[in-house]
Amino acid sequence: MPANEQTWRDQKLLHVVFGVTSIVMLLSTIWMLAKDHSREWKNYQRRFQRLEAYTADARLSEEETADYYAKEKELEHLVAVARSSAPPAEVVDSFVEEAKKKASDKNVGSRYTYRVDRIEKAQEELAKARRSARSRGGAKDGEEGSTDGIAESERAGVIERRNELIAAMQDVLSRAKQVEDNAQRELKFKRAHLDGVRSEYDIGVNEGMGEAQLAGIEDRVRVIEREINGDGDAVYGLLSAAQDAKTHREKLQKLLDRATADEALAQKALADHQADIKRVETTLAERRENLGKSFLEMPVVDAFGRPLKIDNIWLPQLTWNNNFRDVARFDRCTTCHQGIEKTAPGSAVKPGYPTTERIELTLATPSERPDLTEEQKLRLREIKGDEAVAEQELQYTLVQAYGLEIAKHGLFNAGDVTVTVVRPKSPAATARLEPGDVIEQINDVKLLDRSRAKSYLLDSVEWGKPLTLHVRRGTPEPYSSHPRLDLFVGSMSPHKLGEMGCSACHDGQGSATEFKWVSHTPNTPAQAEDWHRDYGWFNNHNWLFPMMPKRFNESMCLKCHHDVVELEPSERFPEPPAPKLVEGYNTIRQFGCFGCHEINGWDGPSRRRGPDLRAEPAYFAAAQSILTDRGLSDHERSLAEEVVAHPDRHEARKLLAELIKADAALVPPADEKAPQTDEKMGDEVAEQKALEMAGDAERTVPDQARLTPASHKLAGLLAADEETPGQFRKVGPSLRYVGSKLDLAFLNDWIKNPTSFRPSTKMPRFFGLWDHLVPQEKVDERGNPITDENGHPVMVESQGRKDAELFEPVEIRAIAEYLLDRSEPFQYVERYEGVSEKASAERGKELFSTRGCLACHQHKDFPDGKQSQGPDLSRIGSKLTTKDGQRWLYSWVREPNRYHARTVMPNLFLEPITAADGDVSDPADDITAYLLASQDDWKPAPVGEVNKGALEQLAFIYLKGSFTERQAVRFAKDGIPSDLAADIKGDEQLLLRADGDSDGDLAKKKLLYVGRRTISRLGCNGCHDIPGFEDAKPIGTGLADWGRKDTSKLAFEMVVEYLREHPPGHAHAGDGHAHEHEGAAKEGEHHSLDPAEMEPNTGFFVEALLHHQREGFIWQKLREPRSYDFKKTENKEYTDRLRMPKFNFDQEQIEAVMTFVLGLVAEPPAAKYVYKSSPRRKAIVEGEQLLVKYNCVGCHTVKMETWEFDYDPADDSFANGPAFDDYPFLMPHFTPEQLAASKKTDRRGLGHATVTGMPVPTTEDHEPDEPLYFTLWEPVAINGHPWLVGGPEVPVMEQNLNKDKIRPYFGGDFARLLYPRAIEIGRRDNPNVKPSDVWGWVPPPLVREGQKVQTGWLHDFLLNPYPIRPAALLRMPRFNMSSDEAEKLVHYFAAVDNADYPYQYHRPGGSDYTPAADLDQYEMALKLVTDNNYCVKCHLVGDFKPKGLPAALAPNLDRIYQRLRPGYVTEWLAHPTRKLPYTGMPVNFPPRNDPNAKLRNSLYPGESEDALRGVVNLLLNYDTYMKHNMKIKSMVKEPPPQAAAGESAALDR
Amino acid sequence: MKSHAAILTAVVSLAFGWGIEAANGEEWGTLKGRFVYDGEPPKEQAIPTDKEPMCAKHKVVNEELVVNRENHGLKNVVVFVSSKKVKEHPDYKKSAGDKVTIDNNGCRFEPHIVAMTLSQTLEIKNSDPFSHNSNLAPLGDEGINPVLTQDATYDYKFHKIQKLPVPVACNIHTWMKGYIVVKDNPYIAVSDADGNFELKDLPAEELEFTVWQEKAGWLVARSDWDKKKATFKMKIKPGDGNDLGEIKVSPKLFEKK
Repeated sequence: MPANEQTWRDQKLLHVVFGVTSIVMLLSTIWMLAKDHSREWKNYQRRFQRLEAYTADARLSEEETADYYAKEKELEHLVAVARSSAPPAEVVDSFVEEAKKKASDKNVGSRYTYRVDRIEKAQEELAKARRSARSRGGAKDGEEGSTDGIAESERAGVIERRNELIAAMQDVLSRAKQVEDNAQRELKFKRAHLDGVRSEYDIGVNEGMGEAQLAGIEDRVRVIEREINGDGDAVYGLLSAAQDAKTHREKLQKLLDRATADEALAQKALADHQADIKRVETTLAERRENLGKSFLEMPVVDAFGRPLKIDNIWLPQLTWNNNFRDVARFDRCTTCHQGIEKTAPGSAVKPGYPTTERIELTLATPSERPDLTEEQKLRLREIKGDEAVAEQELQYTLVQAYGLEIAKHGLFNAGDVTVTVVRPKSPAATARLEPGDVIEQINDVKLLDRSRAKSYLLDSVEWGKPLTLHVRRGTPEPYSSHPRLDLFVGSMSPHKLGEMGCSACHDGQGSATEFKWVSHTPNTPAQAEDWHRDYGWFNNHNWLFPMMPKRFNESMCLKCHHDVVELEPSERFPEPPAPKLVEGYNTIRQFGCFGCHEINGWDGPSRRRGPDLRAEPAYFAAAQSILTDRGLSDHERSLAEEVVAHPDRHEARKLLAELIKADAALVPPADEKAPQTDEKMGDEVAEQKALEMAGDAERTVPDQARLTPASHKLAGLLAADEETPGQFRKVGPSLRYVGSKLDLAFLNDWIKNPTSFRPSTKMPRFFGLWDHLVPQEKVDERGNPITDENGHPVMVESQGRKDAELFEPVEIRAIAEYLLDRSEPFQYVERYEGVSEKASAERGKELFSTRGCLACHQHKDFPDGKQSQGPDLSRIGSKLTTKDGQRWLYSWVREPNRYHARTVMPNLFLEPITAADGDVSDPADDITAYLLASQDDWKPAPVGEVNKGALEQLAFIYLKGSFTERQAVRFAKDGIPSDLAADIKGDEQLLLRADGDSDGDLAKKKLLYVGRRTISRLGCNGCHDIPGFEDAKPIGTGLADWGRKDTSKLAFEMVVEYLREHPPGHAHAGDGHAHEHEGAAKEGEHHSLDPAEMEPNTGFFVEALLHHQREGFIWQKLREPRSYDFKKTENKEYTDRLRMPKFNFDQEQIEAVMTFVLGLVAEPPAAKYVYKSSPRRKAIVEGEQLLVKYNCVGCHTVKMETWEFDYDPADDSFANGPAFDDYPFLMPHFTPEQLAASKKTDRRGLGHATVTGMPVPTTEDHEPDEPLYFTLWEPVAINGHPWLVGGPEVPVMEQNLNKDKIRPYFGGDFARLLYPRAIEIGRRDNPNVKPSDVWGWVPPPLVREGQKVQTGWLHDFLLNPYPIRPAALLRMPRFNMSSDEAEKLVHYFAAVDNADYPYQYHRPGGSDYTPAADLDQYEMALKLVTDNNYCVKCHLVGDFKPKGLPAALAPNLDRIYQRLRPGYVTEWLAHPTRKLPYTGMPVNFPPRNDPNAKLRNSLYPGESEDALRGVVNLLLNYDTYMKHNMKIKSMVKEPPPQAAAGESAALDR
Repeated sequence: MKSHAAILTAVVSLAFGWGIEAANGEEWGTLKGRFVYDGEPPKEQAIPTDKEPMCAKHKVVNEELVVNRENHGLKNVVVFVSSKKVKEHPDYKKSAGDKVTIDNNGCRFEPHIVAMTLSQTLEIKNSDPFSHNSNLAPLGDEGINPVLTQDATYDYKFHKIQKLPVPVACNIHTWMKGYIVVKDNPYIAVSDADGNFELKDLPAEELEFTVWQEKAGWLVARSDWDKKKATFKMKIKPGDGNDLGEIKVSPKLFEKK
């Protein structure tokens, strides 16, 4: 085909297509660019820049006040003055002299071509110029002041002269520098030369050069060395030249610096003053809109200049799990959250853009409207210019009236009335207004724009009456700064932004830059709606790590803080860092969740993955069980006892295990063995065996086992070593001896519903949780629902409910029977002999309240006691109604560790008391009597007959697991025949039938069997030590990684359906009452389940449930654990029903527990991120745990209360501070910086102080205008003055006290509770008892204990306390504490007080040697101590006890050397109240004006301080001194020599 | 009518050359009264001191409430002027710098209540032949607790007036208790064994008075006095004509609340 012009396609059409596609492409490109330009984050960044500029502007106007300019002017003037001053003549002279001296040096003078004459001339001219300028300025010679009297017109001339002088000096200096450089260079060259010649020598030696030649080189070396090092006067070495030149130059430099020092100082002051404003100006310049920036931000262009860009934080070591692969984390959150780490100017931790809050302030108004005076207008014109005057008149009137300026327009809303400036000490400052505040409302009027602000602040004001302002403070999201920058994100915080990023703590999708893709999580349904509306937020199910909602923010702390307790408030972070999480942790510990749900923090023996809450190994229980074995040898018994008391002592435990294993090895193999009917051995057999053991060892048959199989089994448990054993004790009481105190009726009632007896109990409820067992529709034979006449379906009880009602009473009874049956015998404590008084409940009540019981327990007779370490004892008498129970209580009160070797209940040393009339009473008996009398109407529900059918059915259900159905039926009815014994293992052995068993025996066996199975099923052993369950394992799901548990693995079942019928908030859920009260008609009623309409907290969780989220699951699980069985029980075996009991939690506790559990994500970050405490912090944390464990803080205060308050520095009390007239060593050492810092005042002109100690209680007649007083326990600097402990109380005006910031004391509630009682008791003997003395009778505060006592002493005292203060009402009890624990406590006190640990006291010369002079000194000091006017007036010393009132007696001085640290004794004796503010100990040796100087001198010559030190030395060397005075020799009667000889002769024979 | 006090003032001021203000006709008056216990006087309550041999020979009683058995006079009631900035009679200037003594004597403080002004100095003394300590802790002021052997003395200056009388105690003999009343004006009276008190040379103007007693606290003895603060206002007439007469104090006021 011939070629032609025709194209394949129609050109025209193609043009059109091309044209259209081009346009489409252009449009889509534009669309793309536009879309890119308006990305969400860019808008945020632009707005944040505006915010910054706005804030900077406001700061600038706040700084740029008239005061600022005046100050700047003054400083500038000072600079000018400095620049026109004459440098000190002596400095210039020294300079000239130094220069001249050098120039005339015989060795090097020629090098220094100084023009010293120029300096001298310039100096003269300057003096002349100054003289003439000053004469014109009207000053006389020698008159200097802030201004130097130089006429300003002349100043320039003077400055020029001075500059000439300085230039001349500088010229000299630079010449000196030149010479120095030359000398250095010459030296360097010469040294290089020397090195060259030396290497020539080396080469020569190597190459075999001749002696002569080598000598020649040596000579050359010597010459050069001489040139360098010099040779006395003959040669001036280069080294000296260089050094001298340097010294000389430095000297000149120093002198020149001194000459210009004034100027430099003035310049620096000016620069400092300007620095703040400069900084703000720089920010402003950066942030303000300008043409260049606007251009760069234009579409397309912005891709190149990138003024707005995505912020990335790259965290390669903080990985996240992306489908089984750990990948580095990219956080882009700061792209939008631009202000997140910004701090307020001048602070490293105060947020620069705090989160929005609304507050109410009271603004005082002046008595009349101030108007501008002409002069003010003039000044205004000067500063701001003519045209601004009119506009700014408003501003300035506001300034006059309130010290307030308001921006022309708001930032986010133009109409916002935004405060820009608050003048110091103005009414606005006093009202605590701050720049940036938005005034939303004045009195009752809402402000919509600025003009209304003017009218309500200036025009329609009732002058003299204060205004109420409603103020919005802070910045909206996403611009606000992170809260607590001291702790998070800030550059000084432990979680710096660059190191931690955001999503490691918050979760969410860190790399997203759009709100909805970040997986933000709303905190309430309302917030969810708002977000959905404003940002298109949705619940993104596909992202596995949605952000933690605000309520669970603290959960993620667990990733790195595995020990949790470090999150308690500390010295560095006194505000609690994670209160909710810590609360959750404590709740879990207290309620013992880990008993069933192990939280294993270890992933392998050395890899930690999170918090570790596991029960300790059951060594203690195993050893106790073994102790009941009558075949034990004495040695084994003592080992077992040691393990019971100290399961941490591995040697004893292992040895015991080995011995038992050796015994077990003697047991013949199973097939030869006679069948064992029980894990317990029959008494007769045991006795027989014990008898054999006790007989002659040789005669014992060696190959017969002594111990029971049960013991043999436990040997394995005892021998087991875990790499990282669990640390936690079971939280419930041991039930090993439960039969010795409780009867069946009580146990039955208690197990059924623990809150019936004790509403505050921690024991959860297992039975009667039937809310989910709702009635069901009645059906006919064909399965069709039957309806009533109205057509409604007829409802009947469901089978699930019927089963529960049938079986539960049997189970309860079975558990009780099992516990009582297995209870081991208990050795009750016998009563004291020689007690003449009968037990008295009345005496008991007083003892109960004074001997410390209330430090841990509550009782209704003492409603002020709030401690909950131990149980509430208000109705304990109703519990212990049997004789055994009463005997048990006496034993428990007297010797708690008899019942439980490691109980936290201490031994209170309740020894017989002999009254004044000789009657002897037993306090333990009295307290027991009182407790037994503490009863009310409560009675356990009567124990009914066991439903035999139900019992059999239950046995059958359990037996079905091990046998065929037919067998199971038979065994459940008749027991297991004994001929099957050999094949029966485990629990079923309990059902083995013996030949002579009656029906009753069989029924009992069935009960025990069902009891044991029920205990296993419900996991009672998780919290209680139960005989026979020593090696049982926890029954619940492990929680170590529950926070990441796949939600598809959570069995939500029909819970949503259940909630529709039982919507939260409608009825009291879960306790069975709801069911009883609401009629059946209400059952089955459906409710709409709309989270948005619920109370926000509930709504949040219901929403989460509807979305099948973990938060929802666990919330409902904790609220109504059995609700997940709703409509499920029909298709389940009875024993397969859910077992989780219901705990007595309130909503807050539930959320706290959830916070903890949701944080168990088992995603340990790289090692460097895991929290490691410093040794000191570790000691404090460990100590605090023990303080809580043993409830030391029930009695003792370990931290005093802290107050923060403002004060007026002009106030009399603070202007001068209290006088100090005492020994210098008692003065606390505040640094000048600390004193200066304490003088800082705020915008209101008020100072700020934080004091630690005790507030003085106010009296009834306290008037509002009187100050509150505060007794200091720590010295403090206020307004530049030190305030000391033992000095005046600090007066604080109530309105100045920052009540939100009061940090309460820690510990000592019992001491405070006892105090008023103690006063009452004291008044019986002495109506004038001094209230401050009474503090000495109650448990003392342990504040600064670390500085006070020696560590070794404290350790021993904790293990074995003895009475110290004779006046005290109670003595320190003895706890079952290990030496290790005591050491931790000792370490804690040392660490808290920054005291040495371990403490070592070195006596001068060692402990055995005492110089004679010292002994003389002790001798004199002892005279003082024993003089009836001094120490022995009150103190016991050795065997001496002073007469006088017991209340006035003071501690024995003979143990001071063991107990107290030397520094403390000195300070204590010098001024006791400086150490202990309430002490009654007087000042015996005042530093001045000793009223007893004459007497003291006669006993101990010298000054007061000598006597003081003498007594201290004696007390600290008391033992050494007493050893010297003790003559043993005289006490030994030597036998006559003959007898001695005879005896030894006898021995020889 | 010129009062006796005014004449005296004039004489004194002439003699010392000061008192210009007295010369311009200022007038002064004296307030008197007697507190009477309106009921059967309570039994004396002895404090056992036998544990301390030195004190055993002294009879020590509880001095919280001391009523004269014969005339029912109520001892140790404190009456003081509580108005602010009260004019002071020039006579008081003489004693402004005095020492006021409280003595440890016979295992009690003598006197039981000491009244003084801020400008005066408190002297604590021990006349007993053995040592006492004197524990004094005024609120918001420097506390002291010196040991005083026989005949020792200790001087103390208050820096602040005290709203309540400040107790002084001995920690060795814990029953010992005395009080110091410290005010900024000298118009403080303590009733004597017969219940009488007298405030001399008060400025003749309306003044506010406050009444305090150890056991009762603020003693609202009359129904027209302030119920909470136990204060009453009175216009002082020049001269001696200001007599409150017998002030009957109901025993109910001493019952422990």
